[in-house]
Amino acid sequence: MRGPNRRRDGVGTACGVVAGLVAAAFLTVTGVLAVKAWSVLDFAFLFDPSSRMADRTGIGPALAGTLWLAVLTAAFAFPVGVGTAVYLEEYASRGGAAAVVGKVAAHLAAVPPVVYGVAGLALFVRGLGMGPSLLAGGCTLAALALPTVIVTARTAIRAVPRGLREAAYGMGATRWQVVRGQVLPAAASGIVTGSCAGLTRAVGEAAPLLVLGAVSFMTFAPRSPADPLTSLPTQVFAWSARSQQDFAAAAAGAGVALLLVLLVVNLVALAVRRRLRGVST
Amino acid sequence: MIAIGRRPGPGEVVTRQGPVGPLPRTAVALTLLSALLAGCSPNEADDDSVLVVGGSSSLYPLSEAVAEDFAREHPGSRIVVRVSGTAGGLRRLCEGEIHIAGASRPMTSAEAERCLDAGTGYLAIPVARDGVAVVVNAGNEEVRCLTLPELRRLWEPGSGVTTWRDLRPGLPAERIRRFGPGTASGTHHFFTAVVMGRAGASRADHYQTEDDHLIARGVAGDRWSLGYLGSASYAANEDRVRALAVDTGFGCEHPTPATIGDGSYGALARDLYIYTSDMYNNTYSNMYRFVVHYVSASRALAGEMGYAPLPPGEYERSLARLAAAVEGSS
Repeated sequence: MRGPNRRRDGVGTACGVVAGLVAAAFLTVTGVLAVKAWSVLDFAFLFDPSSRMADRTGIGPALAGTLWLAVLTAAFAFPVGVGTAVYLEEYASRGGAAAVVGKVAAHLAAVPPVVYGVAGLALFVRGLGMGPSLLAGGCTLAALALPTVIVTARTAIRAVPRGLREAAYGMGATRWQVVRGQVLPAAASGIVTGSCAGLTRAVGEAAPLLVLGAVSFMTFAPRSPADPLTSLPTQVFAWSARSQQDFAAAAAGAGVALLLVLLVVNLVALAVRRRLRGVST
Repeated sequence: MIAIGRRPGPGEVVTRQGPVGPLPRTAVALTLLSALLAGCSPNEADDDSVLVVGGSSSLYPLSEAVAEDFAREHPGSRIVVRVSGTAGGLRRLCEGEIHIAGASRPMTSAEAERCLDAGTGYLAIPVARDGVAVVVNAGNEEVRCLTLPELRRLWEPGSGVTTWRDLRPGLPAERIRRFGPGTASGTHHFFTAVVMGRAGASRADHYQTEDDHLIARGVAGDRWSLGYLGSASYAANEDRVRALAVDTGFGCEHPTPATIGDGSYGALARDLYIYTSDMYNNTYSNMYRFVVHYVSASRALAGEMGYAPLPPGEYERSLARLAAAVEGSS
């Protein structure tokens, strides 16, 4: 039985149809990908190195590369992004330089990823001499994720009720104690969601990594940030440029693996959020 | 420079003997290298280092195959194969960014000088022959064979040929969409030298890329398109583009391992090289083994992948030269 507030009307039906279409489109894309990838998807595919033969090739290097990139990106982007957001919201005075930083961060979120690649090539690969390494890739993707992390973390922090802060100050807490004890826990759920969105967006990018000089043929899985740059999205790109039909299947397989990695990231975020909610109540 | 339209005699390979300095300069380079190394203590052997192969996209399929087989035979070896075009690869080799550069043309003397100035000795090793395949869309039934003068009219700077009919009356008046290698490519350098008579002379109003797969993909996407790329890259894309026969003076011939090997593909066939550096300081002890493997495996792999193997005896000569080079420096 539906309550009166769930009564159908025209707008509700239309929105329902649209939502259904979105879900169907998503399932179709995933389904097509999985069907195309079916012939290559097996355990060996996940761990084997690249091969010139489509039926023998694997995503071992690319998968390890993407995991490295996710860890490096998170390690750089989360502390810097959340720190900046805390500073802008809790410490900086309104207006002045802080406002400019905030505006710049908001606008950077709209810069196309490939532009970050060009900047990363000049700054990290050449300027800081990192070469086309995973480290340079992680730094570039972190820069790409940073604006999203900052903007969403600021929104989450701003949503914390003033009263919470006032009460803590009233008890004689210092500014840092307020931030640590009240603001961050209350905003944590939103911060995690936003950071996760920034991370998944960055890790799914191929364009900036291609500009940096990502490799699509490696006989080994990278095991340190100094190893050559490779990733699932760039592997998908390289394989789809090939003509042999079997490589299209391999590209689809790499695509499925990428979706799985992003799914795992989201599940981790979900678990973290659950835990946080449990703690804060 | 590059001998045009001359059929090589048995056992003779024209391009390798060309008077352009770089290959004879190998001797100079090696001498310099030995002199340099006499004063250096060899580094610790480090098999864990990453071996980076780069350079020509014409040689990419072979490098990929060699790297894969080598890694299977030597588990734990860490090899990366990337593409940057011949010019880019040779520059990176001399700057020490990569260890082996595939080249679809010999180093120019300017490049050789820059390399030696940077203190990088190098060794050029021919590994296979290929031809430049001129490709059209698989649906283009009208064009079958082109002559060198026709290729020149199609690609020369300031060319007025915009439709197929401009080239030859009787062909459709359809606009020719062109795809070709970029200027960092050895194939671009070689093709323009052979067809236009001057390296680098080419019209530039077409799509250019160092990635041969993208050339094939472009040509496959337009029924009246035209492009050129290395014959091994063509072999990997045979199902979507068609190679034209080219008359280089020996009749209309397609670029196959047979016509490339026996010289009937004429001036559009060429030697492909790998350039190596640093082999003699032990930093990359894997590198020497890899290069030896490259030379030994090329004979069998070349034919399989759309190249032609070098004439008999060439691989043995290269292996002997390699052994001598290493011995000379220790």
